[in-house]
Amino acid sequence: MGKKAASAGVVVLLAVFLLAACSGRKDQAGSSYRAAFPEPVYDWGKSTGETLVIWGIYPEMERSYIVKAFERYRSLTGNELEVIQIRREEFDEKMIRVMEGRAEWPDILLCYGGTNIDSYDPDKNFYDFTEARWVEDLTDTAINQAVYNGKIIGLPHWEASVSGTIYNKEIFKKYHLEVPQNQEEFLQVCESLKDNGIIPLYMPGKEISMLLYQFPLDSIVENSEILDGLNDGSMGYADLSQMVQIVLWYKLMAEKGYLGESYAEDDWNGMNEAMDSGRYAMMLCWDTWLYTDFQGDASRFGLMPAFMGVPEEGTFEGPNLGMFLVNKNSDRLDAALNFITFLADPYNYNAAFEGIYTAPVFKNQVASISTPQYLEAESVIERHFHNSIAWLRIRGFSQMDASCILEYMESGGGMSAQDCLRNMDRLRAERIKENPSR
Amino acid sequence: MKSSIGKKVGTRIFAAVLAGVIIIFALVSAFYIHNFDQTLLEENQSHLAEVADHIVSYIQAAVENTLDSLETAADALPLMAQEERVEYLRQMVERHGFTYAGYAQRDGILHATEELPHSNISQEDYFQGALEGKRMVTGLMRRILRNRAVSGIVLAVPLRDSDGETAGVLAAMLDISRLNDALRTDSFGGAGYSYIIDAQGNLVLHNKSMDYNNFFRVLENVKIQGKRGLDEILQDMAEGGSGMLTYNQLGMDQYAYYCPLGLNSWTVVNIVPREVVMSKTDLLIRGMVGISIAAVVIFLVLMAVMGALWVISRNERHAAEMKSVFLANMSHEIRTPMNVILGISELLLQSELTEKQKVSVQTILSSGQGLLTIINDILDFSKVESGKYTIVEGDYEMSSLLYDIATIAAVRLGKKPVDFMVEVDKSVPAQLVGDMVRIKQILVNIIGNAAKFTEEGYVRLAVRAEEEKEGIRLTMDVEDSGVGIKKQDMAKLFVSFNQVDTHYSHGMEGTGLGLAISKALCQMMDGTISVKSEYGKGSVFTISVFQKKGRSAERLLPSSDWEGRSVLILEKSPRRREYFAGCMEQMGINYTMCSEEAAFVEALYNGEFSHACAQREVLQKVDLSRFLGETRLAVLAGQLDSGMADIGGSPVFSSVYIPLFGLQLAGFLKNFRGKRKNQEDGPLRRYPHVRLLVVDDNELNLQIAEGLLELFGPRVDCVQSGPEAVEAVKKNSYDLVFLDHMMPGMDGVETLRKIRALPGGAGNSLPVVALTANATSSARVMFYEEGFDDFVPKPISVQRINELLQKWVRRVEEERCQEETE
Repeated sequence: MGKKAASAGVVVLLAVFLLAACSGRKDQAGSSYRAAFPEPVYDWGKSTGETLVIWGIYPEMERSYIVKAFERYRSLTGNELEVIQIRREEFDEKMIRVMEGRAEWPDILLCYGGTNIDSYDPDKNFYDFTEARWVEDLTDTAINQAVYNGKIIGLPHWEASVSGTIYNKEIFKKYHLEVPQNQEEFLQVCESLKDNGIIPLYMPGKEISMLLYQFPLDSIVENSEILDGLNDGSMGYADLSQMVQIVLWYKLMAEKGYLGESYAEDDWNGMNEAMDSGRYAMMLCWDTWLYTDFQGDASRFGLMPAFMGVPEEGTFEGPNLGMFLVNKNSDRLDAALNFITFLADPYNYNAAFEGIYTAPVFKNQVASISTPQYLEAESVIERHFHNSIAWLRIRGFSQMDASCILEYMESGGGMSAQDCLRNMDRLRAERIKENPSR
Repeated sequence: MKSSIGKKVGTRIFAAVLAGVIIIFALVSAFYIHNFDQTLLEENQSHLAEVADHIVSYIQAAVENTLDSLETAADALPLMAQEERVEYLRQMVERHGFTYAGYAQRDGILHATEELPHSNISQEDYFQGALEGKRMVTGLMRRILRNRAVSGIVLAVPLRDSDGETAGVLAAMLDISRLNDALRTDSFGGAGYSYIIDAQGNLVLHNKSMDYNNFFRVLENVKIQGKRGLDEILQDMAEGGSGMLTYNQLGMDQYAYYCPLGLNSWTVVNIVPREVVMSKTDLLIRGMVGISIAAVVIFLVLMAVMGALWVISRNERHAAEMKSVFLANMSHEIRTPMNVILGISELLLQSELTEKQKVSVQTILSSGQGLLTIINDILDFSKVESGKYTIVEGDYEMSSLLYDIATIAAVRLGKKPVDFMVEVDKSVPAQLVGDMVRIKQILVNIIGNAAKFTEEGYVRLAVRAEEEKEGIRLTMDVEDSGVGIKKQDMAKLFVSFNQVDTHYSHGMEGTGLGLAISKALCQMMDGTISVKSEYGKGSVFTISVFQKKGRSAERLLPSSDWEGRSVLILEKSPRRREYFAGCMEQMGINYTMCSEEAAFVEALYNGEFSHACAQREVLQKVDLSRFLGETRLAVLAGQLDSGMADIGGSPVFSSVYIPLFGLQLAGFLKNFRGKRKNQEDGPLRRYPHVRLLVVDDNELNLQIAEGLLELFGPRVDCVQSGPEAVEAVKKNSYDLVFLDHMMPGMDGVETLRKIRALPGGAGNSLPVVALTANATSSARVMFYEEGFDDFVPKPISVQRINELLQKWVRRVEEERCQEETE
């Protein structure tokens, strides 16, 4: 009896305390996009029985939200879509044939904007959506991807990642390291990590595109004069002191051993293991990689700016968004425009993006999931965010030009930063020369 | 059964009280937490308002400063050539971070630094307003430029001609992100977020994303808490009000504070998750709850420990009670045969015995009494432990104490070649008030140890006294020539149950309590006990106790003038000669010490000594006819001889007991035997007119009691049980009853009650004396409380009986004697 009484007393006590401690908690009242958008916002037409032809590079249209959007379109409109995915190496060839009139235009084209579509004569061939209702629903990041020659040239319909430096929070905590606030602090962190036997940054040199020199370049070409200078050939990378700082940064990272011994041999396939093993503390990447490619525990990582020489407080790069462009000369233009309106309707895009890790492309995109890393660093991202415009706006830009940087990194003393940048300028100029429209 | 039910009820009451206390405690805590929560919330609202005020000030200042800059440019622009103006504006754009700038004359065609989709601004409100001479700021607008889209505000000021008339408009677009610094004010350590919304709820500025990019849309899709509904809140915002609202979004409570920005009907909104606001509170609350729970758990644990201790204590008390009962029973059972032994010894002493037989019987009596003392000590040790040990003060004779000690020492030393010597200082009083039994107990312990660990040599007891306050500080040194004590064992000597190598703690024949009890006893008598020792050479224990002065100021050693008396002593042992000499020199006695028999005899025959002492066999050979007979002779009695009787077969000689040489010599010189003051020595008062009843279940005890009482001549009846006693009292008229305390069936207490309750009241006034083996002081108190008039401890002594008879029946005897005479 005594034991029961004592136990009862303790249970009552704990229950009352629990009640008191939880008194502030309220029932969750979730609001889903279905409640916010129970019916279509726009009029995307009736069933016409027409079949729209959509081209895209393989396997871009395999993305789940695109598949889902297409199926939903078919389901809700009864219209059919002919989805044609073309291998990358064949895509340019096919488009050349289209441009030369040897092949028919599709009704809709899925591709990136900016200089990527220079050769398609957008003003002549693509529909101008500037006055479309949904334009106002695009976020500032998304609309900048869609601007071409003062027009909204297509509908961004893509997952939006934020790029910077992902870092292992456990390692930082273990060695009492704070997230750096500027370039100098970043190098100090690298030194501390190295002292503790941790390789500071995983940089897969064999995957040239992953040198990601466009991250800092975005902030440089926000200056329209620089951008115009680069595009009209009056200026080159070698003329930009910031670019010198960038390539020197790569050189320094390599020489100090902050990239490890084997960075030139490291490749894309090693990224997962490198970050999961705990041997590396950081990697230049985008937040959604942790949820699309990484097989370890993503919660161990945070997102901080990329400190690559410039800008001083680091940078986050916005996403590169694929867009649906409409052939304005199509016989099925109305159907194609209705299709775009369908995709741009919150009623539909929320269904398509539901559960997808991405930052919003549309203002009313509430069904997708922002990565925890993005949410955790959101205020910092707001401050140091730069739209991904280097590869979008710089003519002849190629991430592969980073091979010059890699060469410089491994050159010892036989090559200068200027040599490196001049090589990059030369490659870009050759590319422009080969394809003047770009 | 009743006890079981009682326990259950008690447990339930305890549980109910416990639960009640816990619930009250929890409710008070919850109330406190709620109030604490509320207060902190108000403080946080104040903090949010401060942040909002800062944002308002910052943006207003930034916009005003920009407008001022534009006005400065507007003043300069008309002075320039037309082709220079755009270039000038480009510099301004670069300097101030504008997206673009341009000027328009009254036709509304904008000449801008950037190619714009629409160059005709004549229909724009800002153009119209500026033409009217106003400083204009637009709402948030998005401009699609050649290769980018910019969201910002357009600021416009009038351009004036040389006459001061409005000639056009200067406009510039400011990327809204340029104002974002305003939102960098740290709020709740970076966990709070600030927004500026327009009149439709659209985000103008933000430092965190927001669902729908529209605050009103968010509010439409959340659960707003509090009294105000959404419409009321929106109306308040539209009217430029400010306030706080709480809503729950996706299960998270959010606090939002809003206030007007004072620009374009924009509103500042500061939002912070409740968990951030309350994180510190929650931390404190969690801490407090944790501490409270810990306190209650500790409380419960303490309760449980207390309960367990109570149970253990109860068991221990029970065990202690059982031990007491056992000891009392043991005491009774030992005392019963001891009573027989000692009682018969006393009877024998009263009978016709040869002197040798008397000495033997006296030895039995003394040793038996010593043994009883030890038994009493064991009984009393439990009192030492429990703090119930008491000192019972009474008058006592110092000589009695020393004789008893000498007797016990003699027994302990046996035939060892060890001399026991008592040296009494002149300062020692003959009478003192204190607990002689306890002092004797201490000395028995110490001297017993000394005797045990001294194989040859001596054990010396030196007694001295010093006046202190209103009493006497009695100091007793017990010095021996035994094995001594190792230094490392000295500190352990007086610790209970401490078995040190020296075995000095074995004063109680293996109880290990002797010195601990002695120390406790000394402390109870405001005294101390200490020891000095050299291993291998011997030890000196010094006992100091405080005693009250006796009624007489007489000293133990007479201060007589010994003039005309000279003492001749034959002693072969140098140590004894030294001992004798010391005693006599202290007393101021002339003496001659001989170590050779021939010299002694020669001196005895030739000298003029008033007193002479020597061994018995020497004195027996003395030819009494050869000296004039003026010299009194005394036998020097060793410690194995009784000092309390003359030497058997030698009535001619007195005796001087060596261990008490000084004391006995003084008596010898004064013709005083220096014996213990026993009633046996004087004639016993007779009580032939008195009738006594003795009640004891033990027949032997009855015989002893009867035999002892017969020495006093009363009429004695004996019965062996309580009912018989009651019956006897009912039938006969007794003057005194000796009633055994422990008897089977009706015990002494119950028998007494029945006697007292006898009709006619005869039993009420009848004095009843308890016969008991339990001689402790607490037992005495108990007897008086039970209604006994007096008590007599077993074994019964003639002296005690004499005292009791004098106290209770002497008057009766005298009255009846008088009546008879008349």
